[in-house]
Amino acid sequence: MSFGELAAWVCGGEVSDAAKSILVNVRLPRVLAALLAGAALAVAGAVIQSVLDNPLASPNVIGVNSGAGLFVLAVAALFPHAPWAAPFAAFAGALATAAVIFGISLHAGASRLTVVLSGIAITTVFGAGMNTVMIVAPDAYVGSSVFLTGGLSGVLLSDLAWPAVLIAAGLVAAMCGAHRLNVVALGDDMAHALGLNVRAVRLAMLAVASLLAGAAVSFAGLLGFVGLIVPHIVRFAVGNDNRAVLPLSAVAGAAFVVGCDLIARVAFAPYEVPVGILMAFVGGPFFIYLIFKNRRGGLE
Amino acid sequence: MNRAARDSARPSLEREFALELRGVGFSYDRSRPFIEDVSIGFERGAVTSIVGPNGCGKSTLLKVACGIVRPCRGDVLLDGRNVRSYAARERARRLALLAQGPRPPAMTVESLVACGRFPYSSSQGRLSRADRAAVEHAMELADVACLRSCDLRRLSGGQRQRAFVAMTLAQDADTVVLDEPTTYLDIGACHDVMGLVRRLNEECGKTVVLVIHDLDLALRYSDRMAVMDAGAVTAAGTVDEVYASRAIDEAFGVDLHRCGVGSDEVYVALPRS
Repeated sequence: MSFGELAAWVCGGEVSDAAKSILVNVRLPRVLAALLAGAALAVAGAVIQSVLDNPLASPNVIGVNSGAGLFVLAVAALFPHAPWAAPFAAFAGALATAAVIFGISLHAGASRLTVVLSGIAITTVFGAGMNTVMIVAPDAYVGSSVFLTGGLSGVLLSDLAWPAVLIAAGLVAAMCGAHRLNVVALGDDMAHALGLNVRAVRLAMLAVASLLAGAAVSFAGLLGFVGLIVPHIVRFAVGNDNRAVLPLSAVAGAAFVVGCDLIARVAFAPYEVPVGILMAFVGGPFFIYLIFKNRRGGLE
Repeated sequence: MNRAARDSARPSLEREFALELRGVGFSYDRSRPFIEDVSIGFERGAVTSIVGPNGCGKSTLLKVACGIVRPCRGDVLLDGRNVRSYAARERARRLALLAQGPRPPAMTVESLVACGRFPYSSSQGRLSRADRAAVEHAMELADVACLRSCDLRRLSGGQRQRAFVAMTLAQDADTVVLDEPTTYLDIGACHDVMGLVRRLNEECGKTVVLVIHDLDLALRYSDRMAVMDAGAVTAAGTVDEVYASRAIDEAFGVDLHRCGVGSDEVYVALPRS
């Protein structure tokens, strides 16, 4: 379908039924999915970076995405007739992983790098778990290889209903907590003295990030690095005030994933690359760049 | 006004405690206590310095006093009520803390000072007219109004510390607790910050409790002092009383001397021979 046809349709002109059908049933869900996943993962990343006070953290790096993914696949294998359960299973998996990571970060002497390395270890274990599920129950999840890298092809509008509700709720909750995250940035003791219940805010905001990441993973699979890259770019542009960073991360994340998905779809036509692969090519080097940039900034 | 005149000018009726510890004990691991049976009152309207060697429990005592950690024995009373019985924001309106060596967040001075209004403002941090006035006033007092849009990370240590003091001022609490406000500052900035502390006390009537390492600064700028050694308070009282008790000499293993320099005096700690 060409832009000319799209323009004609928007202007009320005549287009073929096939083109109309592609637009409504294929392109539209895909763009909506990209918008939702991008906004959710970018805000989840920004929140997690603030809560853990760790520039390297993001839902994929600390294992939250793979926790969600494992639960999605496991639930799909155990309850094949309950596809609506995927977003809730994903939320549960993301939450459980976030709780483990939070426990590690509270442990006395755990440096920021320790937290990241623990996350990578957790990701490995969950990755093994997901592969096990797919070997034991190969028919449980249609398109599971795309799920593991993160891709948006074949998304249906009906897959997006629950995740959209959860993501909308998560985005609102994240914006409401933005100023509290600013106060948390002053350090635990100062935040306490300013009348903030630091631990409650940290736990609540991690739960919000898990909700966002889990909901995105439930339909987009393990989309990596958008939660890492986008918040950094936004902070670079507007500074560290979370009241600006969170909403702008949502917008920029949505735009970023829509753009990447477009490139992934057309760059190798007639073949299509899952958008997650494209993001990994961008995200991996960016992660290494962050490690070097922050080496003197107290990662140890 | 010199210190003796200030002491006698204050009527004895006012001698009540803004913050008081009664029989407080605290330990990080259960086996041995880190702070043992500390009872001390911080007089309302006074600047009280806590001094003591490294690891004697000064900073921990402040954490207990601010209700950040729960003592395993005893009570901490803020304005006569258990500090942990206050709702968090209510406590924050009465007691402000400047923690030790705060990592400067990537904020402007003005946004940092505005954080001091957290106990008053809406949870979104929207500032009312009264909040703005308090932020403005705090920046003027701490002399950082001209730096309002500077990034904290680009300021000198002294400027940054003044910005943090401005934040605690914006909190508008009657009692201000400062944990080592002069550490890492050059000597000029030290006097600058301590002069500001003195002004907070004299012009705004704040009760100030601070932990400080530099004995000359402590003795010079305080009304009262407490000496801590190995988790216990070994002396407390006016600066002259504590100086005369030689408790500081004992705690640090030094000989402390007061020497006249012109019309001023300076405290020097010499190694014991």
